Amino acid sequence: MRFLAGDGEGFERLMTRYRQRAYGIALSLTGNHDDAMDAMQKAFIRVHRSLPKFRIDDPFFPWLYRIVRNAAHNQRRDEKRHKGEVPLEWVRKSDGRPDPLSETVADDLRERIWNGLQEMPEEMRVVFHHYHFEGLKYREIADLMDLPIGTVMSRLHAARLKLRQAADLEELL
Amino acid sequence: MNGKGPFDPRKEAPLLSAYVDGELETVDVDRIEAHLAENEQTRREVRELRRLKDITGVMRIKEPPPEEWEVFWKSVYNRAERSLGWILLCVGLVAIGAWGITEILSAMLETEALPLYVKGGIFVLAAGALVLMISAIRERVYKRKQTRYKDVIR
Repeated sequence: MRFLAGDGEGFERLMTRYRQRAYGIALSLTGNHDDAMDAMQKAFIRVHRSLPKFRIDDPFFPWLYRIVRNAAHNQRRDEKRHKGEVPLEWVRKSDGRPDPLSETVADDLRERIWNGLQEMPEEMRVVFHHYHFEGLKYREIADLMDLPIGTVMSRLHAARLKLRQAADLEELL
Repeated sequence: MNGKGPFDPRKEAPLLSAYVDGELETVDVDRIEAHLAENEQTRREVRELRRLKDITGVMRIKEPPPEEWEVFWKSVYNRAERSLGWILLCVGLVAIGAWGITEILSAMLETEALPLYVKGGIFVLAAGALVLMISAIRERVYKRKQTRYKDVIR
């Protein structure tokens, strides 16, 4: 890992493996694409600079996660809010239609869910992101965020209740 | 008996999410299912949680297109270059500033025109500034050593 600090291509390959996960985390914290990319740039520079000091026995992703999280926090604090388009998409089925809703309802719902996510407290949103968009298990989220598993459970539940209310999902449920 | 007693939806509501996600131990699954068998309101709650999970389960974060990642990497390298430029600029300024201050102080202390107590004052002022600077640097170094994730941006 240390040698990568002086190897541009190796560093780029390493970060390319993690970029989508890192982007998702930055996005869930900043709330929009532009700020997420900006935070990612700052985080990647920090990672590049700090690689020589990285302890090779430690897992890489939790370390990267903390750097991205802090960069995203700073970004959210320092920059004025951009809005931009909704960075969520439906996983398409083989027939090309979003499942399980019609196209019109799906687009509207996509926006309501994203806005609902932005309205909820960050600690809930991040847990929701890890579970739903990263597909992590409760134990994995607890380890990554250094939280008791019961806290993960209650934050995820609270996030779902908030989302149901904020995104006005009652009619669909 | 499992020792936990019957499931109480008012106090243990988060367990319902964990139930829907299949994250509960058998003992809690049994407690919830016993409760569900008798309680329509909780059954509805579980149905709604399942539906919400179904909806969010078919959503994902859009991946930025490849051309955007190309621009991203160029910006990362440009930024890294600029930050190196800033570091060099600051080091140069500090070196030149230190030389300038030393020259000014030496000239002041060597001049015959200033009375001895003013020279003493200048010397004490410079010593005070030096002590403050060393103290601030030492504190920063100490904090970096003590912080586990010292490489993380604060």
